[in-house]
Amino acid sequence: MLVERTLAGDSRAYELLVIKYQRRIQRLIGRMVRDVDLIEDIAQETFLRAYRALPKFRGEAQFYTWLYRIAVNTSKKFLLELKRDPTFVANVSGNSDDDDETFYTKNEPTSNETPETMLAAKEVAEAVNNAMLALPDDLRQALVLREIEGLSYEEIALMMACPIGTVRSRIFRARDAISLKVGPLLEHQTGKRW
Amino acid sequence: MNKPHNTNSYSDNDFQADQTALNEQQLQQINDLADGQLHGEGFANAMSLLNNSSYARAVWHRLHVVGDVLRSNELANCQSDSDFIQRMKLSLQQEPAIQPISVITVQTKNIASSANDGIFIWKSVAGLASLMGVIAVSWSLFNGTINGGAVASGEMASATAPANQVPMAVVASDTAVAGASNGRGEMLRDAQLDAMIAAHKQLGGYSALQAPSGFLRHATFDKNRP
Repeated sequence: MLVERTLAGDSRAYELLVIKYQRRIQRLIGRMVRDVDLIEDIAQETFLRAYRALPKFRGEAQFYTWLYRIAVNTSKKFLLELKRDPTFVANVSGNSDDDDETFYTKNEPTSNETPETMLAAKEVAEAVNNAMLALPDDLRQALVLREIEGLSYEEIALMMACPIGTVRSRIFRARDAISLKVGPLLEHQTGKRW
Repeated sequence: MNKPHNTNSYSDNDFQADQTALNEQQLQQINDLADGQLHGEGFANAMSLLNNSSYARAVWHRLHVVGDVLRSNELANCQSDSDFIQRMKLSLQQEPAIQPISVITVQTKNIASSANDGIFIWKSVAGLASLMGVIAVSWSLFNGTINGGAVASGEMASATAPANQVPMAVVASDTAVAGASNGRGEMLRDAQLDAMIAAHKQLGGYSALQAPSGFLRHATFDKNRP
């Protein structure tokens, strides 16, 4: 639906898709490129390419699957360009005269994970997991089936032997309870510019 | 129902003027949209909400962070999410608007056309070649219709003549006239063949392939013909 809305000319709908998928796409790119500056550039280029190519998206695959392929191809293209870049080659070859520690530091994946951001991420993860454990069984089960198992509402209703409306309500209440715990942490991390 | 949601952490002045608390129904709509469960009017309402309220967008972000973290703790780092989205917004504003699908189809057709499509002389040559092809086919069909009978009979003659001539030549060279005759000519008898058939009587009527082989013993020719 968000894709259709974007195709109808609503670029704000595409922003919602970006918010939804950007962490997963950045993690995917990070496994191929592992340079934090490049990760964000490639992620941005991926979303822009997907936006331009969106009229060609036929909906045969899921949107994330399609986006995943674009991210992989964009990463490969960036890596090829880096290899062709003489300054990049000079930087890498220049490290061979350095001592081992310097060499490995320059060639190891760089990251934006400062101790503060790592701590903040850890706090978010703990808050989510603790809030999840504190949920009543029926809410937790509904959310696990939806988020982790990826089942549809209909499938969850069959598994939990309850109406779809109940599934919908349980998932909403579970997310809401976790969001209330995580919200302040996220606000602190991400700022308020949405 | 429709009670105001807890917004204590979002009461900062940085929020836009339209950033108001969402009621439970609105939050439920955002939740349903995240799962692709909204259609029609509900979808339109949720989109309007998300387009006009940055708090609603923060809720949208939070919902997906919760889902991502449940799947993997690696995705808990949201430090740069907001900055990334702001950059994407700016980039998207610079992008041309998405064209309707029908226009894209027309563009695809243009891309698929040949490189010399716009050159008039190539179109003329292609048209002339097509015309020549049609004329050639028509001419051959016309000739075939006019001379059809002659051609057919000629083909029949050429097909039957060798079949008649070659066995006769072979027979004439390897056989002797045995004297048996009928009204239309003399029957030839091949002594070697007769001996072979006598030795292998099972081959006299039918060959090993079960095809009649009587013609081998009863070939005739007209000695009056040259």
